Amino acid sequence: MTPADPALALSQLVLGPRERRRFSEIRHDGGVHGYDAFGLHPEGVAAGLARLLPLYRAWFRVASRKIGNLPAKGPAIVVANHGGYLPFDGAMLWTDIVLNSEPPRVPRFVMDNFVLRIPVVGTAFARSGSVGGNRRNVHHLLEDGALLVVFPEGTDGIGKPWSQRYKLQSWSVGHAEMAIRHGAPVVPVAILGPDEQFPFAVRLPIRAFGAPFIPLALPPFPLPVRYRIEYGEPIELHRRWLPEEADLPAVVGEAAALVREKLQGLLDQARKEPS
Amino acid sequence: MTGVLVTCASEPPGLELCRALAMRAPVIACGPEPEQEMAPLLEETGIRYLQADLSHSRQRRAVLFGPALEAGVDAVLHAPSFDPHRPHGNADTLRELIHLCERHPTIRRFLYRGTADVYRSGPGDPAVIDEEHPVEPDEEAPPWLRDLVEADQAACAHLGGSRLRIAVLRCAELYAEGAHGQLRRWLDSQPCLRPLGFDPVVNLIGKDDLIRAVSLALRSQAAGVFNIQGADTLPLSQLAAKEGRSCLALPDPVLSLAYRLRALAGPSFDYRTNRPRFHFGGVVCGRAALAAFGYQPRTPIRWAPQGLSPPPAVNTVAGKDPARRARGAPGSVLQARA
Repeated sequence: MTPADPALALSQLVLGPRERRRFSEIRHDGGVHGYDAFGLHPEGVAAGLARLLPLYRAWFRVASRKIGNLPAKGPAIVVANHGGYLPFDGAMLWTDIVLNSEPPRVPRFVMDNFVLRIPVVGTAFARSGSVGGNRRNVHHLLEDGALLVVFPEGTDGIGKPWSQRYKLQSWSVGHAEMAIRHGAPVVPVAILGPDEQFPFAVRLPIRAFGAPFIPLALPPFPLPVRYRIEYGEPIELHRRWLPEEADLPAVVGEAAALVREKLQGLLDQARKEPS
Repeated sequence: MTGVLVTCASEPPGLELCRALAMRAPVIACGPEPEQEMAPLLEETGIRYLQADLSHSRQRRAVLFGPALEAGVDAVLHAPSFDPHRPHGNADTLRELIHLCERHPTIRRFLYRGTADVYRSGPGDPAVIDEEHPVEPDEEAPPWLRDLVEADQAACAHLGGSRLRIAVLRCAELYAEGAHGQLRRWLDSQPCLRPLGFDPVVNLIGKDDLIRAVSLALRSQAAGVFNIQGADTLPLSQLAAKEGRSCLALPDPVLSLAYRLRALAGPSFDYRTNRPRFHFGGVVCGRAALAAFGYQPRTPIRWAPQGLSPPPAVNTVAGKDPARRARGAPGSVLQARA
């Protein structure tokens, strides 16, 4: 998707002066034409925000706490739980960070590579800052001081059954290795709401565009559950382990388990608190 | 540098590159064009031009151990032919050129101006292409591309094991008149068709930046593989718009069929080879070049309102006649030596 006129018109209609001012403050290495090497463009971010803002404010009525835990600058990795069959949790987290981080930062979501194969969607995600999930992309972004967002549960998390809601599923460890190697703090983020948005959903074992399953849900749109986003204290794995230890499986496994434990604790605590 | 032999004077930016290099060292330029055609273009530059087709072993020797030795040249700049419609043989030419340079009494530096087209592109590949990115391994790739990959790998095979200081520059696609890049062919195939729902970003380099990159690399003694990035990173749709071309997005199966039908009518843009790139893009990362010899793109392309004129199918009168290119024109240095 090129930031085309309809998307720009929508962004001008939906975004207020505050949001537009924030865009002017976003630091972005966009070269001559405004596109970075991954395809991010400020107009793509504006268009994405214009589409998601009604969902964020009116449908999911997102409330977030402690966003100040995100580092103001430099590399960082946000690690969040994943659920809800369709990635509205990612969309709401993206919107929250774009809207409320100080100074404004555009989070770079690390997505499954199959998303890139989906027409329109892959390009729209790239324009708003998402990148394919491979270590060279992550390496380049962290070198550039980007704010990365990863869902270590991957598709296992997003397609988990109702009985497993808010319980972290299989846990990849790449984020811990990269955090140690690049000296990036890890910020755990608990998202409440997504695991309840599709109470009656099943995974159809149909592979399309490389996705491991197709969700079938009743109703076909998410319920208007209230989302809560809780930013945890940054975990400084790089202060506990040296960069050269990032190659050791035991170290990386331990570091990833620590992040998982903190995030599960944050989730459990947030669920106990009244919304 | 005591002197440079430029073997790619007929590949854009050709003579402009020679002129830039000539400001610092004596330059011997060679290409398949007859000297009578090139001499007027090189008046008052001090550049010596030789007609030579380096795809021929005898002419390679004649140039290197003739005029280049006499002039005490210590650096060679070589580029393959990027034209898919010319006979392929870049890998063989490059291999022997390196062997000859290794035996040469004065040559110490060898610069290969390759292309970033050799890199693979796919959904699982990084969007930012650094020097560790996999090269295109597809056995079904067209011969011209396999030849370029082989030439690139042949140069890389000598890194570290040769007495020459070898640098391989993998350059972003050159946007210049007469350049034979894939995007150039795409832009010349009106209307420009692209896959529906995909608009990846691509990186282009202008001739000013390319000349600067090559000059800096030649002046340094940096050895290794270096990506050369351009200043312009933009999506396909905007590239077509900058060129004033109409761009039509079609579903991929229709697009494949459309380009296959076009190919029946004559040489056209090779969609099959570029299919992954037209879905997932990829932009070369120039950090290694910045660290090694201080190159950073800084001159954006000056887009002409009507775009560039299409490249000629074959560059010159001599170029149309392979036999004439091989022989050398009557009266040329090589003709005399042969």
